[in-house]
Amino acid sequence: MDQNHDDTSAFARVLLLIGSPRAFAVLVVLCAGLFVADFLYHKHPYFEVEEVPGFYAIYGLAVVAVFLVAARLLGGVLKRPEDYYAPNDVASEPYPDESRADG
Amino acid sequence: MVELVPPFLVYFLGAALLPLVPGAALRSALSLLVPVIGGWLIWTMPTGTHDVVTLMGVDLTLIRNDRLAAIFALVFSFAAFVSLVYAWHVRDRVQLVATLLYSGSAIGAVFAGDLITLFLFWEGTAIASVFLIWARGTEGAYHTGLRYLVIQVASGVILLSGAALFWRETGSLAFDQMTLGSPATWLIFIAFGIKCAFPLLHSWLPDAYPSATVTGSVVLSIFTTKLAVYALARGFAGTELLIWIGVVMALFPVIWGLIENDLRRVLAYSLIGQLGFLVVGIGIGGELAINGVAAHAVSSILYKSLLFMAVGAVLFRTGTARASDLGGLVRSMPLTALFCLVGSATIAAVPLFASFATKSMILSAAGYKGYEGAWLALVAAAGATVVYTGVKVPYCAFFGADSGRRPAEAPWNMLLAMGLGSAACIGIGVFPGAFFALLPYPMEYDVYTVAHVITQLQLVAFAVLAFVLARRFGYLPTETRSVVLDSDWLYRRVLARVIGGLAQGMSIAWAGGVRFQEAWLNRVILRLYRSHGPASRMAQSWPTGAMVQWVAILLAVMLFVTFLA
Repeated sequence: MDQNHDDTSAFARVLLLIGSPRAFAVLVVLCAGLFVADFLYHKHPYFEVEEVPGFYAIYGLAVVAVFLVAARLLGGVLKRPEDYYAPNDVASEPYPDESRADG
Repeated sequence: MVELVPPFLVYFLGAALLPLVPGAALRSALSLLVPVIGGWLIWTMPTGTHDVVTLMGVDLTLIRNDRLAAIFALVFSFAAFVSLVYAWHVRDRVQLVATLLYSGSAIGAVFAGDLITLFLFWEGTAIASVFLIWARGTEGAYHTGLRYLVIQVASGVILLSGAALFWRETGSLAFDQMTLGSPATWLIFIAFGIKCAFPLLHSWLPDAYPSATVTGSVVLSIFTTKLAVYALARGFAGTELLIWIGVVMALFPVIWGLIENDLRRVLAYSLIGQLGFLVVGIGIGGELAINGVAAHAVSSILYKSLLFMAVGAVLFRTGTARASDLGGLVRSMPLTALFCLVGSATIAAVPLFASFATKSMILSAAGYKGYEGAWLALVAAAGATVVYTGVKVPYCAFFGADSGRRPAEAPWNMLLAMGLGSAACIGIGVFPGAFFALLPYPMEYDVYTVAHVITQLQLVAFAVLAFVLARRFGYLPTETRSVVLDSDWLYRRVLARVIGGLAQGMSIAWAGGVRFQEAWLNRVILRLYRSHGPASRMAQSWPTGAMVQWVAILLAVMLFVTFLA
């Protein structure tokens, strides 16, 4: 709604930039820059694998991809309706109104 | 004798006296004095053992102060202060008392010099903290609290039996470095492991923590598990088994964290993941690793409570913490969003935030000692943490698809508490040297090397990139209202079904037995009735004067017996 839009403060609008397409472009440039930077300094690794240029970049990307796939697969197996354990569980309960306690 | 005021006493006195104070604001204000006085006592406390009291012939060491105990007690005090600021608006006296008793017990346990004192405070944390779950006041919270209490008390009972065996074995109750091997040490190890959420012993944590009140979850996230970390660091440093336990703990919660819809439950899983780092550090042992464990415990208390505060503020204002019901809240809660981002950056170990300085010590220790497998697993877990906590939580709550909700910004006290937490996260990240001076062992450790900054930024940036790309191509796990099964399914569903089935089988067998017995008895009675009843053949020969005849016989016997006598 327009009224809500006006309520959004300048500060909030700055934070909203994090989700913008421009931020994605910045992220891509940052990633590229960090990858290149890996060739420019002297390493003192604990293990050989760290000497691979861009090891942390490739490893980070791959790990997240693997976990996302695993989560998708397992999600299909492990998800149940919200009232699965009801009434012994809070998952399907509304959160009690705390303002009552203020009265 | 008691020569120093033990810090826990301040908390227990506060818990006893504060409920009597009229006026909620005054009560909240006075409650803040408790961790301040307690913290001051800890800061000025001389090292060594103090306050040895004799109880039923056993010497209890109430205070054993060294640098390892002091840093845990200090961060507990700070976190208690911050969570009391966060709970300023709460009028519920029960939660205030529970918070104070819980914090006091945790601090008491940290200073415990023997296993019996440790046990007493260990159970204290269990009993006090369950009221933070029950305070939610719903049927589900009641049942969840009971499950939590059973497991926590069981941990204490196992600790006590371990202590008893340990005393028989060694003749000592001192709580010091132990070697895993005898039944006694295994029992103590398992008792610590339950509170530390070891794999398969962990499911109480994501069950209970998200079921507490808004403020209760923040308090719960601070004490129990970090107390267990302290106990393991004190008792089992350098136990190699812990490295592999910790690796599993660091990795498996990633998947549950990615699937889970309730953001407080996501944080609970991520809490287990961070405990994994600490447990690996304890398993490695040595001065650098234990320094890393102490430092990273401090920073994980700070960012985890900060994230629980931010999601709690969302729950407080919107009534839900479900990712599927949230999104776009930054428009009306920008400050909460900012503090959440600080928490995210800290857990992601971005340079200039606390974890960058603290987590790296554990990784370095793994590197120096040549544990390549554990090191690779921890780097993987660190990369995944960036996504499943660091990005997912702020993305689902504050950014992402706009839910259309426009709740008010969090109340001032919550913002202040989150501000304090954020300041601490950034302070440690910017001035790690000053913080390192508080660690258990003196050390030379350079955090801000070019290689460390660039490699860590690479890990974070590419993990975020993976998340963004997955979102673009629709590969993120979908957030729907659901519960995600975990190992507690085994006892909440399978065991319940098995016991239910057994009970049903037993009752069927019992009913069958009873019916059989009745039928048999009926048959016997019927047969007797047929043969001896009034209408039976036997009855036909009953002489009318049968009774007279029997009396005559009895008289004859009597005469005979008397004559013989």
